[in-house]
Amino acid sequence: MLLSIKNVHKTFSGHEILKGIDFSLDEGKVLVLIGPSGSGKTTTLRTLNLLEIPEAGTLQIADQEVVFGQALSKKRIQAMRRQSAMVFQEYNLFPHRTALENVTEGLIIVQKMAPKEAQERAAELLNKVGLTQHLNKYPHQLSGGQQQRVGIARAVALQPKLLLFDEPTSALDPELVGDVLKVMKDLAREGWTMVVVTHELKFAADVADEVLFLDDGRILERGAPDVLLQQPQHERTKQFLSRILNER
Amino acid sequence: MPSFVFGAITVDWDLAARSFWPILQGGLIYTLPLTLISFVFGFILALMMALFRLSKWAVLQWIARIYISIIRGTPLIVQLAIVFYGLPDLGIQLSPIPSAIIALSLNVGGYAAEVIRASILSVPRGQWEAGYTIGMSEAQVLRRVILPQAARVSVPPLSNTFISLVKDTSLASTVTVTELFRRAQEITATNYDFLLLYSEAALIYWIFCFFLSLGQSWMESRLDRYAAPRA
Repeated sequence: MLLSIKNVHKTFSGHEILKGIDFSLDEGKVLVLIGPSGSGKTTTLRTLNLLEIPEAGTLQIADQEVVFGQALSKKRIQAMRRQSAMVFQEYNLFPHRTALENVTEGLIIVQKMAPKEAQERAAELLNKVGLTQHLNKYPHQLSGGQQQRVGIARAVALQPKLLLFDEPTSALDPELVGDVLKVMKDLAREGWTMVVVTHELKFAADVADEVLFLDDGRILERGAPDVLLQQPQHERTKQFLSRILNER
Repeated sequence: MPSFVFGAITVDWDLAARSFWPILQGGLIYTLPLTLISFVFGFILALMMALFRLSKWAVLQWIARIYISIIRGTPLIVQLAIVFYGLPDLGIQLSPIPSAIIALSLNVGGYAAEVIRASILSVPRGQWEAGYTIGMSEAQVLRRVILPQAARVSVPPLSNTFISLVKDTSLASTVTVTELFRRAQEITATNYDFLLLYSEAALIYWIFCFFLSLGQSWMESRLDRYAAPRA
């Protein structure tokens, strides 16, 4: 098991957002989290990268484990964080660095790779996501879809055990969504272990090995995509899915 | 009723020409170096105080708060007087120029600290998270991600601080530094041509500040390379 998260509880200003989240994921599998806004799916995802620190529960990724509720040293947090890398809804590229530099930053500064080698790997990855022409452009010179693909290359370059996607296409114009989803499908096919928060049900149906439906801080329902998306058991899940489908 | 006579002002062009260089010289050897040195020290102090203010440690926060409050709550001329005329009572005797540098640096430190703090806070939280997610430590994110972006935001307000500092160095005249303004003052003592000499001093300050504003524009456009064009 590459990833396992047990009984995680998280409270924001007196309001319990996560009420005991449990799941695990094998290497090379893709897990999709769906659910209404406020259901806790993004908080769950951010917990995996320790961008949120819950009050209780445990998180294990590869050979790293942390127990929440105890004091965590900065070193422990950093070691755990390096197991995964996040692709953000708003891209969060470094605006003062070019596309290439956005990708080399972590390689050079964190992984201490030689700049030349880092640039080669970054160029190769940006080439793979279709940005060969844009290596030396700054984020503001790129479209949202291009920025998000830089964001994906930045995460992949570090070769983390786990890739995390937080609604990676929600901020994009509809015609740009396809390019980003295609890159993500390619990654899944290559065997990357991924956890994806998304409203793209077609992507979930095509790529996910398992889908979790979160509601009010709990996992209400889980299953293979063709089961959960086609024959949901709970009324809440049915409502949610039909609302999403009607929006399209 | 006092009477005003217009048209009776005669300009002593010869005095203007003779006094220009000594006044300008005061500016070049005292005003500008005092400005530059005090700004560098003040900036370092300000950065430190800004980070103290943003620190999780209450002790550091309070040190910075108290320091900033004292500096902003007291006149620079009084700060200068304390350093130059007051410290000797504690056995600390400083020459005029070091006194001026210390007081001016402390002053800049207090004002620029708030500017820098605000610039750091203006960088979106997502930038911190992007740094963390690629495995950076807090210090690395600060240095490589946050401060370069905060720098862009802080150039206009820090330029203001810098340009104010050029003019504030005139207060060093009160601790006997023969900078630009004091030079003009000394010359008036022999001929009482206040209007001419102080106008000359004003002109030279204005020229200094004019060139510094050009420098500010240059820096802003340099740092704009990566910023989206402003609407």
